[in-house]
Amino acid sequence: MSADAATIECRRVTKVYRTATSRVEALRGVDAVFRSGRFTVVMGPSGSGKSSLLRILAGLDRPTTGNVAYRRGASVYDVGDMRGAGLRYIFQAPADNLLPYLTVTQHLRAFGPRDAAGGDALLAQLGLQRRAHQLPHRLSGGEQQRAGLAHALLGSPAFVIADEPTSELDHDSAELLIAAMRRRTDAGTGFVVATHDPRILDVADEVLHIEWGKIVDAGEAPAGRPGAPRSARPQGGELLHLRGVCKTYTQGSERIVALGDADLEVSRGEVVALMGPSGSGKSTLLNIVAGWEQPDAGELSWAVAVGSPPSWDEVAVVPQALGLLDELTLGGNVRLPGKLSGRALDASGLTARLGIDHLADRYPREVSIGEQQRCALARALCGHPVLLVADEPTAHQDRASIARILDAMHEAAERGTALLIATHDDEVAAAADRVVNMRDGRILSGTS
Amino acid sequence: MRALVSPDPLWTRSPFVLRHFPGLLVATAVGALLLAGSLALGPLYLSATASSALHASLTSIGPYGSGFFMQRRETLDRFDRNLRVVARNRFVHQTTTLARATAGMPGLGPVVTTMMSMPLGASAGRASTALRLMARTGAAGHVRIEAGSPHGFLVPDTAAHDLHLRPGDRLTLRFDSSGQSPGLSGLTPGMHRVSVRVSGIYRDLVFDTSNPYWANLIHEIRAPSPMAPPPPPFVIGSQSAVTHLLRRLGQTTVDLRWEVPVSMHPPPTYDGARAAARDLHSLIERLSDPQTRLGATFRCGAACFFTTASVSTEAAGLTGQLQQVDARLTALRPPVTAISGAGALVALAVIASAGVYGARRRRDEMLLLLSRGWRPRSIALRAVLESVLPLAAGAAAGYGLALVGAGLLAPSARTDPSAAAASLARIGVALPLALAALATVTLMAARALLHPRGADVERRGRLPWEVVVAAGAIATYVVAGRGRISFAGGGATEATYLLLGFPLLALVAGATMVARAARRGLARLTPSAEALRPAPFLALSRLGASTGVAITLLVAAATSLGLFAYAQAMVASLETTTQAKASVFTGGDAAVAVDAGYRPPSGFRLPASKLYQITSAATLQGAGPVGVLAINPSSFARAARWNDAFSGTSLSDILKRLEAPGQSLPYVAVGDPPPAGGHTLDVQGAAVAVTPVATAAAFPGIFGDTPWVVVAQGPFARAVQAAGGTDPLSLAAAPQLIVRGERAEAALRGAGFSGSDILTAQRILQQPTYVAAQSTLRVLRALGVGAALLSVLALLLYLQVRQRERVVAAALAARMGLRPREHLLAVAGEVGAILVLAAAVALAGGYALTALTHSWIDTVPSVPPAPLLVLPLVLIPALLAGAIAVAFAGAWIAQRSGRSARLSEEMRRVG
Repeated sequence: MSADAATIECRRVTKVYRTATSRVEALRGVDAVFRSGRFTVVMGPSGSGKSSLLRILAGLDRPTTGNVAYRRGASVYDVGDMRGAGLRYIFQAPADNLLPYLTVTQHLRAFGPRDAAGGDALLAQLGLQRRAHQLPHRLSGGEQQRAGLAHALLGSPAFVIADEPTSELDHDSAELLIAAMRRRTDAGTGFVVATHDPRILDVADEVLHIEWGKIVDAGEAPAGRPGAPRSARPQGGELLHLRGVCKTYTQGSERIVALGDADLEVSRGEVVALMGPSGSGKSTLLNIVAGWEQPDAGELSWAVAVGSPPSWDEVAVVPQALGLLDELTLGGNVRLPGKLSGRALDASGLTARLGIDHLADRYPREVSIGEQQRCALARALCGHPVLLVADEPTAHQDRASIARILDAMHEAAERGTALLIATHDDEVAAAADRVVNMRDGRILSGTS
Repeated sequence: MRALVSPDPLWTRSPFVLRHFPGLLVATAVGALLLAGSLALGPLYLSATASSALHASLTSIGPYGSGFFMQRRETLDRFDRNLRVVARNRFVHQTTTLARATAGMPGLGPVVTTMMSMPLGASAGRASTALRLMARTGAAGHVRIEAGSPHGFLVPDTAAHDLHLRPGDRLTLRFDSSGQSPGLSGLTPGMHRVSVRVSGIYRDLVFDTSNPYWANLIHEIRAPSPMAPPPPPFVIGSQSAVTHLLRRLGQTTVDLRWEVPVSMHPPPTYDGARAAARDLHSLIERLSDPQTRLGATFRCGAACFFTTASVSTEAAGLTGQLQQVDARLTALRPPVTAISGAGALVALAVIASAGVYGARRRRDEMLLLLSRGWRPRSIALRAVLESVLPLAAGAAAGYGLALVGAGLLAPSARTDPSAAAASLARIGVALPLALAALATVTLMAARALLHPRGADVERRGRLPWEVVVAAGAIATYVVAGRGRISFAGGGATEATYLLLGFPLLALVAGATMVARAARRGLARLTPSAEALRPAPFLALSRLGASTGVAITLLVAAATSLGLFAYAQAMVASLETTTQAKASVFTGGDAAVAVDAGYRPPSGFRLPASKLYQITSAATLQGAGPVGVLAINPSSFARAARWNDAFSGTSLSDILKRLEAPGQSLPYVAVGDPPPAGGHTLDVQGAAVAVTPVATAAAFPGIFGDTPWVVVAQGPFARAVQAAGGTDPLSLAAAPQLIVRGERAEAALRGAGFSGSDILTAQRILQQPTYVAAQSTLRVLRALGVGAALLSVLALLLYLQVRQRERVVAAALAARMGLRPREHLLAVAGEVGAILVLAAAVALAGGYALTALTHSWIDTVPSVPPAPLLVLPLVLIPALLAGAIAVAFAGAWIAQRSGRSARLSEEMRRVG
C-alpha cells in the first residue's frame, strides 16, 4: 500500500474501563487527525490515556463511543481491517515485538513480503545485519526494539504506531531507533509515538498533549527540550565503597563479564546516576550493592553498620520489577515497611508529593505502571533509608511526574539518604550530584 | 488464512513451537492423555470386567457345565416299526456327526459322550448293592484310582468296600428285563447276569465332585439334598465293553448324553463367549430341524416309540452365564459411561484450560500477531496446528494407560478387539473435539485481546449465575424425588445421571454462593486487618483481594470434596442398608430349607438355628394378616445377623422378653407398630393372647412388605395348642436353617446341601440393582477423590506460579522485616482458609444432600429395613486435618519455589 494521502481520523472517541473497584474514563472525547508522512508525538502524564488512544489507532481495541477511521483517498476503512496492512504497532517492551522462537530474519519472512533484499537493507540501516540470525534472547534490548521496528517497517506501511519505544533503551540504541523512524517518516510513513523521551520530541513534526483523556494542546513540535536543574547540596562523608568488584556469568558456552573491576564511592546524601547502554552492568552493580547478588571478586565496604543482607531501613530498593504486593492497595503497599518493621511511618507527605495520594485505596492492577512506579518509590523512601537503590525509576513517567520524583529524591537526599540510580534519562542525570558512565561492565568516568 | 498458502516460519514451525513452552506442552499432552484414557477406559474396563466375570463363572461352573449338553434315553440300536434293526450302534454315528458339526466352532472343545445304564443289581459273594454301568469319554482320566489299573472296569471304593472287592476280583451284575420288549434285545425276558473282572478301584465321585468334568452329572452322582436317597454309583468301562454288557443283560434302553464343553485354552473373552453361544444356538436349531443332516441324524423317529423319555436339548450354562454377565454389564455400564464421560469432560476442560493458560502465557505473542494483521481465527488455527503432535502423543499414552488401567481395575486383563476398536473410535472422535475446544478458547482469547472487556462484560461477569445452577439442582431434585429414580432395568442410566447430577449442581451452586459471600465479608474485614500481626494481616488481605482464580479454586475444591463426602455417606448408607436387608432376608450368613426333624451333622461347627416362617395362617387383632416368625431364642443370637438399627431394643433383651413366662404370648412387632388394644393372635382359628414386648423395623428371617410378629418357638407352639390349635410350626412351608460364619456356605455344602439350594447374603449383594447403585456411588466417590486431587493440585500449582510471580515482592517484604516463618504462615493461612472453608462447605453440603437423597435408593424394596442414613463422621476431622496439612505443604512448596527463582534476574524484569 502506498503511504500517500493516508489519514487516521478520530471523532469524539471515548474509552471506559471498569475495574473491580472503579470505573476509569481513559479517553473522553478525543478528536484528532494523523497523517502519513508525519511524525506525531503523543505526550501526557502517565494514566492520561496515551496507550488507550494508541491501541485504538492501531485497531487493537475499539472505542467505547466515537469513531476511528482509516482514510486513503476517497476510501474509508475500519482501522481494525488495516491492522498489519496499513497500520503497524510497536510495543513498549522490546521483547514483546518478537517471537521468542524466531530469528530476526525469520521475523522478516513471517511478517513481511518475500523481499529479502529489502529486509537486508532495513537490517543494515538499523545496524542489525550481523545479528540477523540470532534468536531474541541473544539480542540486547536495543537490538530487540530495532528488530521489532525492522519487521514493522517491512512493506512500507502507511502508519507505524509505537508506545514508548525508547523507554527501556540505552542512549545509543534510542538514537539509532529515532533516526531510523525519522528517515522512514521522510520516506512517507506516518509515525504516531507516545513518549516521554525528549529526544523523540526533537524529531517530531507534531505534538499532541493529552491529559485526563482529553487533548489539551496540539501543534508543531517545540524546538529544543527543557533541562532539569541540578541541585547543589552539601554531601556527608563516605557511605559506601566498592573496590575491584567483578561479576561474570556464563550463558551456554559464552562467558559474559557483567562487571569488571568496578570502583565506586557513594557519600551520604549523594545522588549518583549510573548511565550506560543496556548490558553495560548497571543493574548488576545495583544488585550487588542491594545484596541480591554476591561479587566474584572485590570488596564492598560500608561506613555505617549494615546487615547482610541489608534491611529495608538500610538499603531500600526500587527494582524495575517494582515488587508491589497485588493484594494490598497502594496505601497498604506504602505502609507495609512500617507494618513489618513495627515502626510508625508517615508517608502522607511523600505520596502527595509523588501525586499518588488520591490512589491510596486502589490496587496496583487498577493504576498505570507509572503510578505503580511512584508507589514503589514512596514505599522505598518513607522509611528514610541510608541508601536507595533504584533501577530506571522514571522509565514510565511523564515529564511532570519525573519532576515529582526528582523532587522526592532530592528531599530524601537532604535528609541524608544516598541514592544510587541506574537510568537512561538525561533529566535524572542532570539532577544527579554525580553521573557515573558504564560500558561493557566497566566504570568509565564519574562526572559531578 | 493467507499464511496457509505461504510457507512462512510461523506456520511451518508451528507443530514444534510448543517445545519452547514446556508447561503448555505438558498441560496439552496431559489433557489428551486424560481424554484418551477416560474414553478408552470405559469400553476396555467393561470388556475386561465382562471377560473376568465370565471367566469366574466358567471357572465356578466349569467348561462342561457351561457348554452344550444333550440327553436322551433311547435304544442302543435303531429299529423300524417292525423291530427290524435299521442302524446298529446308532450312538456312534450320532456322535461322529455331532463332532463334525462342532469342529468349526473355535470356542468349543471336543465332543464328550456318556452312556449310562439303568440301576443294576451288583453282588460279590453274599454282599450286594446297586450300581450303574457307565461309559464316558476320557472318564478314566478324571477319577482318582485308589487301587489297580485304570484300564478295564473300574468300581467305586464305596461299592468295593461293601462288596469286599479288590482289583482282579469278579463282580456279578444282574438285570431283570421282564418289562422290556424281547424284540429289542433278542433275549428272553427275565433275570440276566454277567460277570466282570474288576481292573481298578476309584474314589467314589460323591466324595470327589470338585472336578468340573463331572459337572453335568452331579445329580447322577449325589442326591440333591441330604434328605433324598443317593443314586447308585457307577461301574466305569469303555463304551464298547459297556455296550456289550448291556446287550448281554438285555438292557437296551440307556441314557445317552452328548456334551460339547467350552474351550478353556485360552479362556474365552466376552466376545468369544458370545460367538460360542451363537454357535451353540445354531447347533441346537440344526438339531431340532430334521431337514438338516444333524437333525436327521438325531431324529428320534420310531426309536422313541419304545422309550418313555423325551428328547432334551439345551444350550446349557453358557447362555445363562452370559445373561448374568449382561446383567452385570447393564448395571455397570451407566456408571462407567458416566465416569468415562465425566473424565472426558474434565480432560476437555484441562485441554481448554491449557488453551487459556497458553493464551495468557503467550499474550504478548498473540498481541504481536494481531498487530501484524492476523485474524483471531488464524491464531486459533495456528494453536490447533501447534497442539496436534502433543495431543496425539498424549492420546497414545492415554490409550496405553487405559489398557494397563483396565487390567488393574478388572481382575482379568483380557479385553476384546471390539473394545479396543470402540476405544480408538471414541478417541478418534474426541481428539477433533479437543482441538475444537483449543481453537475456541484461543479464538475467544484473541478476540478478548482485541476488545478488552468493558463495563458491560464486567457487569455480566458479576451476574449471580449460580442461581441458575441452583435452579437446575432443584429441578433435578424434584424429578428424582417424584420416584422417577430407579436402578431397575432401563432406569439405571437415568438414575445414574440423576444421582450424579443433583449433588454436582447443588454443590457447585452452594459453594459459589458461599465463596461470594465469604469474599464480600473478607473484603469488608480487610481494612481492620491492619491491626493484626503480619501473617494474619497478609493472609486476610490476600483473601479479601481474592481474584477469580482463587474463588474458582475454592468452588472446585468444595465441589469435589463435597462429591466425595456425599458419595462416601451415600455408599455407607447404601452398604449398611443392603447388608441389613441381606441379613434380614437370609437371617444369617447362609440359609437352607430343611425338614422339621433335620439336625446338622456332628462335625458341623458353625452356629446354626432353625426358623419357622408362617406366612398365611395368622391374623393379629387390629392389624390384619401377619407373618409369624418363630425363632429359637437359645440359638438365634449366635446364628443370626443382627443390626442395632433394626430395633431400639437390644437383641439380647428381645430374646429374654420372648421367653419370659406369662399369661400371654410375648411377641415383637416388626414393620408396623403393634395395634392399640390388639392382644390376640389368631392362628388358623386358635386365638392366642399376645403381648408386644418390643418393636423392630426389621428382623433377620423375614421378607415381603407385610407386618410380621416374632415369637419364640416353644411358647408359641404351646400357646396355640393350648388354644385348641394344631402344632403351628407345621404350618411353615419349610423350616429355614440359618448359619453364621464366613464359611457358612461351604459348611452347608459339606453337610450335603446343593449350592443351588443355599441362600447366602452374598447373593443379595450381587443383585444388579445394588451393584448398579453401588457402582454409581463408587464412581461418584472416585470422581470426588480425583477431582479433589486435581483441585488441590491446581491450587498448589496456582500457589507456585503466584509465588514465582511474586518473588520480587516477597524478597522486598523480607527486607522490610517479614520473617520466613511469617511468610509461610501467611500463605498457609490463606490457603488453609480456602481449603478449610471448602472442606466445611463440602462436609455440610455432602451430608445434607445425603440426608435428602439417601431414601432415593432402595435396592430391594420388598425387604426391610427402609434405607438407613449413615454419616461417616470420621470424614470431618480427616478432611479438616487434610486441608490444614495441604495448606502448610503448599505454603512450604511455594516458599521453596520462590527461593529457587533467580532473584537478580527477576529484579530486572519490567513491572
